[in-house]
Amino acid sequence: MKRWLVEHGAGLALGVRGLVAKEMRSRSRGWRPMWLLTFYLAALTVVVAGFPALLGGIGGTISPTMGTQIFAVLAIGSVLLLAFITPALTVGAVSGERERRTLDLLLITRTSALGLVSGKLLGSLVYVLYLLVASLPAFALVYLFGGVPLFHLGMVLAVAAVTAVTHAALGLLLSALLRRTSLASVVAYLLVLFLVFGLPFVAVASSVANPAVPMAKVPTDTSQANLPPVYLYASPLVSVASVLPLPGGPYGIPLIGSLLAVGSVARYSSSYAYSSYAYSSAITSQSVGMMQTIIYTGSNPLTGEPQTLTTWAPWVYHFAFSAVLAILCLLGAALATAPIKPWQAWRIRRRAVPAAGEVRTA
Amino acid sequence: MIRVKGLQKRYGRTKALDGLTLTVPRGAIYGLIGQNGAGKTTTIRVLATLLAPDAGEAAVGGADVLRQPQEVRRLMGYMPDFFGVYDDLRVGEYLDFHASLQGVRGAAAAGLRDSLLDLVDLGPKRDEYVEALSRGMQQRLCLARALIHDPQVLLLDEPASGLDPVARVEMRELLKELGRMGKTILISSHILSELADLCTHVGMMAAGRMIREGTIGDLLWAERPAYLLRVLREPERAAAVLQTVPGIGGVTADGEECRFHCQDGAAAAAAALAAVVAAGVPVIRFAEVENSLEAAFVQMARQANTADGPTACEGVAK
Repeated sequence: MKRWLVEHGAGLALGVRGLVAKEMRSRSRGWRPMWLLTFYLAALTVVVAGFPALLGGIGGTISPTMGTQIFAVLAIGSVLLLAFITPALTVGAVSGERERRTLDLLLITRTSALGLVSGKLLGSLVYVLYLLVASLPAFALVYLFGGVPLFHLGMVLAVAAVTAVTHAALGLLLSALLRRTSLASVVAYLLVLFLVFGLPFVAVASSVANPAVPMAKVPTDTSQANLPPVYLYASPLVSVASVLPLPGGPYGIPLIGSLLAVGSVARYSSSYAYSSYAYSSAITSQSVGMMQTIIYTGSNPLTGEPQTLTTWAPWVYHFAFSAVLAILCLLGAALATAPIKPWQAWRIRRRAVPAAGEVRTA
Repeated sequence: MIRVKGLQKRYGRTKALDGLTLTVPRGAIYGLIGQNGAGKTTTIRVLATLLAPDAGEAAVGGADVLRQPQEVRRLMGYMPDFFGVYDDLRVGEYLDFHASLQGVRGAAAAGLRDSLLDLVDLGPKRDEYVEALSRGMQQRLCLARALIHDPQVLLLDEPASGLDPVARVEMRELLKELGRMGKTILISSHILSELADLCTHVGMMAAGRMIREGTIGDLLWAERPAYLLRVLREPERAAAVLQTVPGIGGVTADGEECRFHCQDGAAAAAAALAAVVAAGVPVIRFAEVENSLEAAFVQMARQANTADGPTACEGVAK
């Protein structure tokens, strides 16, 4: 057991050390990294510059909540950008090596398959970190207008980082499972689209299919009444909405407020349709610190007392879901990359002829 | 140094290895010869811990490929027949990268890298991009990569494929130099003559089986003039007598026939015939037969292929 741990620890460390250095070197060469950074910053700039213009803030009256509004738009923009950029960074990590016929040369080194995929993942994430740091000046603009505690900036960056790690791990798994990078890209983007937009859409669809129970019919025990489905929290869009310092009310963010159903209800939804579902079920909530949320599920029809339910904030669910998904993807990618699967070796070892000792003493 | 016993591997219905057994002594340069599809690449990939066999055992330096793959990887360097390169790495960086994956670091790695680049004659190309190198240079760089952790064993799968004649000669000289450095080398090829002046041992494969294995000295007898001796009875005694005659070697007995090779042509053949007759073994036929190592190999390979169904093509193994 000790030998196994030492061997695998060394395999992991060698892979991470070697591949992170190589990935950093590769990603800093050629035109592609420059174009990617330019695109990322240009998109953020358009958001930062365009949003006040759309609000009529330029040449007009500046809303006192301008800082919060720009921050919300930036946060959602950067999470969305990273959600879609990171799979592209890892989707060719293993399949590209396979296509280039360089994978075998990595697999016969002392690094393990887990070390190999971990090195690839971390190599990509270093680049994501670089993009995040590069976007900080855009976030600094928010402080020109004020209204955003520094803690919320940290939380938004954390949601962005968690989203990036998860989506990068997902791309890595698909890269290891599917032989061709092009196929892995298509599948990765379909899955990311589903995670980001598909889950809220499914929540809306299910709310349409199962209309909320009218207030008058809400039973006394309202602990589970009309709560948003838990799978909704797997969407990074919902997660980032839950860490924004939004003022109360559904129109906290002009323009996209109607899309994101901001305010208390927005903590559970990312679409206008879903907000109507939330209104119909009369759910309102307020955060308790950052970790927990109290949801008002209605009032007791007999006593008139408000019924509440304390639950974890959506971003906590998102972080937990992301951690599990990222670990599973990483282990799956390592298994798919390993030339000899553990069960293959075990099966053959069981079948080994008694003369095995003779070979081992060669 | 390398021991393989009863190795079996199937790709669907195709049998790639069918109970292969081979032994490579320490310090040997072992040529694995076989047609395309004989199972050479599959054998090397199993030894390189890249492929799990269906049955049988394989060990490098005493370490089993399934039980101790990390130890095998530490002991061996592998060069595939087809390989790619990174378009964004320079020659020196490419070796540094593989050195770090092998756990070779610091000043030792830099020193080893420079000496290996000198060995493969790529010292002046250290700062060029790998992609810009010619095919022959890339092959030599790949060999340097295989040596970056100073392995005791080298597994080389058709290292001269795709090279022009000059590059082939350079590669052969390089391998001889590595042999002189004490490395144990397993090298596969489908061209017999390519290995004749390089290897100390040769194994001939067909249909996933070893059909002949031995030192190059033993096998070189087969290149000499061959004779056939048919006797009425006591073929074993005839074979025993033939082995005592100077200049006679490669004696085999099959039924009532003995085959042997003569070192110095007709004179030794006459002496052999006289010795058998003098020993009282009744000879009914004595004739020279057309023979060469290549012809014998082709004949054996055909027999092996017709004895069993389809064999794997090398491409399947990849």
